Amino acid sequence: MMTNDRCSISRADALHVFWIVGIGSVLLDLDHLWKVLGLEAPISFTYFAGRDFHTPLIFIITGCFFGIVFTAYALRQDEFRRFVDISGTRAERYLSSLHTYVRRFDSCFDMRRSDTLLVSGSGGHLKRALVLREYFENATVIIPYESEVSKYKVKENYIRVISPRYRAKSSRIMTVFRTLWLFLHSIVIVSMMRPKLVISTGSGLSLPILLIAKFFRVKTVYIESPSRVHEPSITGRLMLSKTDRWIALWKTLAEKYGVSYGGML
Amino acid sequence: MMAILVTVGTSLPFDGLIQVVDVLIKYHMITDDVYGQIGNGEYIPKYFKQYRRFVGNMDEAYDRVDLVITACGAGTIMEVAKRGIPMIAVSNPDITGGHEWELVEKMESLGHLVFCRNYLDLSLYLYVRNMEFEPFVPDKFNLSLITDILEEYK
Repeated sequence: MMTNDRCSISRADALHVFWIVGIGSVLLDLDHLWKVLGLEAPISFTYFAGRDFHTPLIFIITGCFFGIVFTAYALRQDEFRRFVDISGTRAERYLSSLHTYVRRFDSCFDMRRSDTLLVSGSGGHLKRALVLREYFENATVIIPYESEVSKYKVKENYIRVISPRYRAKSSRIMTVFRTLWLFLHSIVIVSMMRPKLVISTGSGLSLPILLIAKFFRVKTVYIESPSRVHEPSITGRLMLSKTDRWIALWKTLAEKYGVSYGGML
Repeated sequence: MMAILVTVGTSLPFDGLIQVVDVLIKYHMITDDVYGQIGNGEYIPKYFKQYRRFVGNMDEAYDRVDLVITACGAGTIMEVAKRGIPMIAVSNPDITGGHEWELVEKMESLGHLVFCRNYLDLSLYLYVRNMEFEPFVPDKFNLSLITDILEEYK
């Protein structure tokens, strides 16, 4: 499919892995749960010799089967119909809603190999990322999923991710789950795209991706927002000693925290 | 005839500012052409000459106007200050924390804008359109800071 790219795994493969691992691990966790609670397993499969079959194994096989079926349907509806005709049934309605769900996260898995990742938020963060994109050819921009406008501003080479906190007033509890999801997503992004450099233009969105990139020994750069004149932002303060370069856009901030001064972007 | 641009940015709505400007036009406190970029706001201005929710290329708009009234967005402030257009930055009470004020106060002390702390007092700040502002000339971004750390790969 992609010949020149170092990233040889296709989107369909990635989806297969996601479904299989997802369904399998949920069922495994269930199996674990009732043992932790000291209950007897509600279902136990027996082998033909009368011995207990390893229940999680059954679950994983079932998970694999449904994972492959779901993915095959979601990606190739027409080919799927040749084998099983389910048109007009409840199963079809369920699977087609699943299909739209997968399509919605289309750009999550549409990863083309690029040397530079520009992690930006919406608005001014994105504007600075787009200025930087002119200097790094073939750079991919990471934008928040919530912002439709950003998608039109970037036009090409972007990945949409769920941002931990899009609005200052959005729920704090959901922020935890969104951050966890973003950690998982950034593991997928960084390990599949293998960038040489990750540049953040200073939004809260960039924290998980920078940490994951640092874990994978990728060079990281953090550029603080120009609205920070005397004190760094929360993300900036957390990333102070963790990135390879921490660039302040005002001299007062650079002198106070002993970071490099980059001029105005 | 002067032209005034009222912009509140695309991310956060600021209906109060749009309403205040609309009232000022209605009662002839502002007699100029007013163009608006109202973002996601619910209030639809009635007396503006023209308004849009989202403008793709703001550069053209900046070239045509003589006064910019903006919410404290860092992007707009930097762009307008670079051009030396008279600017009133209005603080949005809905923003919690208000980290943008740091930049606004800095730019105000450098003399590139006038900061209106309460949007209801906007009419007191209309003298700004007769002031002259010097363009803000920032230091050029030092790109070698980023490209230096890539040299290990070569």
